[in-house]
Amino acid sequence: MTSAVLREATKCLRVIKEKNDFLNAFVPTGLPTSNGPETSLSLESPRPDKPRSQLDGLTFAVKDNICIKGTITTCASRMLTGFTPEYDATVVKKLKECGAIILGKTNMDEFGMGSHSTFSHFGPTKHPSSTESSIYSAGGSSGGSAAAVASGMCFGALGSDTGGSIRLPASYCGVIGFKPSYGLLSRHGLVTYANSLDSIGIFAKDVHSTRLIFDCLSEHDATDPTSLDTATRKRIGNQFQSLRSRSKRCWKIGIPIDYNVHEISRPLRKAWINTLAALRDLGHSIIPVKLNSTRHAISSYYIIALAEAASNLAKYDGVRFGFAPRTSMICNLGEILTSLNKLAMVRDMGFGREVRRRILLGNYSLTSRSFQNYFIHAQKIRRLIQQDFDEVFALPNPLRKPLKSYGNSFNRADVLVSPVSVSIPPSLESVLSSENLGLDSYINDVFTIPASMAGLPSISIPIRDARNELPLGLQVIAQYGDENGLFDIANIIQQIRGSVGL
Amino acid sequence: MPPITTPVLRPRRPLALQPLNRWVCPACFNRAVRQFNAIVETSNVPSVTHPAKGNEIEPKNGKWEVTIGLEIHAQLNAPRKLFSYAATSFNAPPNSRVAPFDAAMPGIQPKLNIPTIMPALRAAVALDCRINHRSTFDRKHYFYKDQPNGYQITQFYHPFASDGKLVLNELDGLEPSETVEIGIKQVQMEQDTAKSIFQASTHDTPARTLVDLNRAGSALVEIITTPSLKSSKHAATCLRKIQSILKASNAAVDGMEKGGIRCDVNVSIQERGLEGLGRRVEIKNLNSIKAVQESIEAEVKRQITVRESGGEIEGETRGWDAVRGESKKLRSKEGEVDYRYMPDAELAPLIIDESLVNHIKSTLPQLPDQILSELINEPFSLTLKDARTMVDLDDGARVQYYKSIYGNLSNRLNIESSTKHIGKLVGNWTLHELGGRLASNSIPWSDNPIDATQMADLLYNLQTGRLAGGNAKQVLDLLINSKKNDITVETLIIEHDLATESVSGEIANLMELASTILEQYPDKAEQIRSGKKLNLKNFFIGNLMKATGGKVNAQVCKEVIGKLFSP
Repeated sequence: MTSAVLREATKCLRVIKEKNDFLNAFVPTGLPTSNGPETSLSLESPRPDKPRSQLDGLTFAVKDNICIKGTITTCASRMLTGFTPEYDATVVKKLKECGAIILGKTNMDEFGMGSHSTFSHFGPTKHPSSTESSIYSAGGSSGGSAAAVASGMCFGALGSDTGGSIRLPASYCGVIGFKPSYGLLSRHGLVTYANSLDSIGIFAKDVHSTRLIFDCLSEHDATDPTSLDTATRKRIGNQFQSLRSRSKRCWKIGIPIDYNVHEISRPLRKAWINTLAALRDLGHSIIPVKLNSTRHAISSYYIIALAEAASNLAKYDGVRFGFAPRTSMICNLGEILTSLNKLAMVRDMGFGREVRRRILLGNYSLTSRSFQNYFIHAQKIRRLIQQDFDEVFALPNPLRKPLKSYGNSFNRADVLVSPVSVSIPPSLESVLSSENLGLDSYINDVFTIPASMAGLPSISIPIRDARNELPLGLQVIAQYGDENGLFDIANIIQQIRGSVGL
Repeated sequence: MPPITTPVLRPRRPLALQPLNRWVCPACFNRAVRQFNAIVETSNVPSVTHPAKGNEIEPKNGKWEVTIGLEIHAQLNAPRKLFSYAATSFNAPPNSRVAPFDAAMPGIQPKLNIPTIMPALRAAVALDCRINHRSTFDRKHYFYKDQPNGYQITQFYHPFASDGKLVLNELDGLEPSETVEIGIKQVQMEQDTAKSIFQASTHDTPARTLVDLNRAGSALVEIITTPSLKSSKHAATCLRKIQSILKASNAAVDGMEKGGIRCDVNVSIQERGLEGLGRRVEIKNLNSIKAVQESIEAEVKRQITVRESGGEIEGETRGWDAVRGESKKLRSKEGEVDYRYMPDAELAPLIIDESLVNHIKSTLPQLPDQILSELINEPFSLTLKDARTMVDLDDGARVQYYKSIYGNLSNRLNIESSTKHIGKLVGNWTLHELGGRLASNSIPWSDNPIDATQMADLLYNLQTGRLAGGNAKQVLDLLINSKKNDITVETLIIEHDLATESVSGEIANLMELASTILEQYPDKAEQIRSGKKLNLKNFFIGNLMKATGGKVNAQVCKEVIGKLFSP
């Protein structure tokens, strides 16, 4: 093992030791010091002289809903207490093959259901810029991963994004958060929340690192039925290369005017406008685009995601793994329980409040009484959202037949740029109190959900306003499979941040 | 008492509430609503899709018309499970054939095992279904400890096959005048559940249920008939027929007797002449044809009693107690499980190419009906009864045996005239002579010691007159009891001196012998000569055979006697 690798890894371990008690970024069952993965063992074990990849020796954290062989994986839920997978998720396997050091598992909202990493069996994760007196939300649901990267606990981290669960915490914590096109990174080993929306994604400090990690992980995986096959990947690559043959100097940046909601706070609006102005000054053209179905996106997202969640979480019955109430808990009731009663009790005690709420809503929309009114409509809206995007992007959607109206590419955008959230990170206190009241600010999801619904790649790039100590993020969305374009623009925006001193 | 309502679909109730809305595709919802409205407006629900001749109600049900539909689940003859790589197993040690997906391990996804489609396709093609180019998989949710995922993956909205049919007629044991056409609404692929095994309490363990996941996720087909059956007898016949088709098409291996096929029935009664169907009652998990027939009969009786005492039938689900011979209510319509069907977002639609369907059609083994009609027609000319027995026996092995003997024999005999006779002869010897002896010696068909060539040799000797009937049977006995596999018919005939004496040289002796017999019974001979009692000839034929010690075959004796009486 090279001394540089050892030095770097030791540094990370020290930061974790110093900060994790306060930040709660790593879950206690997945800390490097406890029974965590790799940990000291892999740090000491001999490493080949030649680096196995550009990620060789770099440190990683993995969200607690991604399986690591032999490491407890709980999704921050009591329901999966002690669940120890006997296999590595494909992305974990690939990281290991690249020589990465996996330090541990990070905190999250239970099963990914939440936006502030507060709904965790292990307590909330705190924003890395928090002090004892002012504590901020790290965002969610992959808040642990975002906080770990932001606070220097690891080089990069894996998370999962269903409706913004990577991009939101990345923007709050001031790191890059990238959600690839649906189907590019294998979900084998990701504990499902809503399987038509879930994507594994990446946290890192800069766009270049993000790209490196993505290239290491992106490959067809036969164990994931939704993984894009190799031939299609190749076809998309060739198709986009020929359509965008010249090296791109001038990009068309689309501004979705439907995203300009009045709830956007001043600093965010300012960052958005300033960045667009800087891009224009660099010679890129800014064009407004219309995404008509945006206003229905949130409601239909919550119907689809929750319906799928209700179905996917039906397997947690306390029979085969995870949490099962002790006999004493049952006996206290002083009655003989039917198996259905037992099941209800397991689920009542094993799931947290938000998960129970979402399962209930999801099941409601699946009942035969409401299926046609909710689920089917939501699916139709989802299709409209996809069509909206296809109509504004210059590149065609490689998975769909070209639209009839296609051809006029004059007013079409290469990428879309928008905020990630409506505001800078809120205080944890305000989040908890509104959660207690059952009030949700769904509007915060308006920027991230459409790309999730359409399966498009999108990335959150941190912007730090000089007068604000807390970071905020801008989002870039690209056509399906156009990760290259996405990373190129993200790079440009990342550089602007430095050059114009936003 | 509430008035007896006419149970047509109610207009105010949304369509989604109807338990029978299985065919409603969400994408085609509007069309379904239109159809629904049309049905309500005209109040004209066709009760039977195929009113066939002879499909009458049983008279004992009086004014009540019975309507029955079947839902049949059959384990597919597939080496692996539907969505995991685990091997299909029926006898392996508990929980030894379980892939992570079968145990619903978090993070593991389904992967369709393409080869499992083949037996399913064979079943659907054999049931005359239309194979849908595109079909999809859906989740059916309910909690039970033998259902690890909390849902079953099935094909609810777009099954892979639909609109099949099945004809029941004389070949199936119905009256010659009866022909009943049963519609097959759809055939869908789905997962089987795990097995729960109840264990009574012992001194150191409390009563508990053990779960064996070996069966969990195995491939099933569910075959849903239209409500077009009119009696318990037809239902049983239909089930028996579907079972034999599934076996013949090699879609399923085990029948009901081994739990490879299970059946739910839907029963309703309606006053004759009234439109529509009565409210249906479902009886679940029937595991024998007898249980299907008996439970329907009991249910019809129960429903008639309720209706005739002014009551109303509740839509409900019942379970059958085969020991007591009665059903009991499991849950009412209100307590019905809402399965919350939803398309499985991870499983891509299944696209079945027409060339595959054509391949299946061209390679499908002969179905029971085809074999039956082949057997009862020239050249085999078996009786329907014998033909049916033969088809039902030994999963078709008996038919193969029969045909190979017939082929062998007809090649060697080279006679055009009496093929009809040969077919019957082989049939008789295969079923009755051999079958009877195997049965009385408790030898299963799989251990049948006589191969088709030996049998053909035996019948060849019988047919050419070298063996008389009785002696041929003796050879058969010797073959069955012989411990040696390679013993030939020829050896046995010589060893035991069973050959009929050469006829040509002996015919004069025979004439002489016959004349002396005639002289012993002058009265009887006279009656024949005068033409009064011609069948007394048989008396002389019998006596002549007796006198020769059975070594001369009956045909020759008949000729000799015939000659003596010829003018």
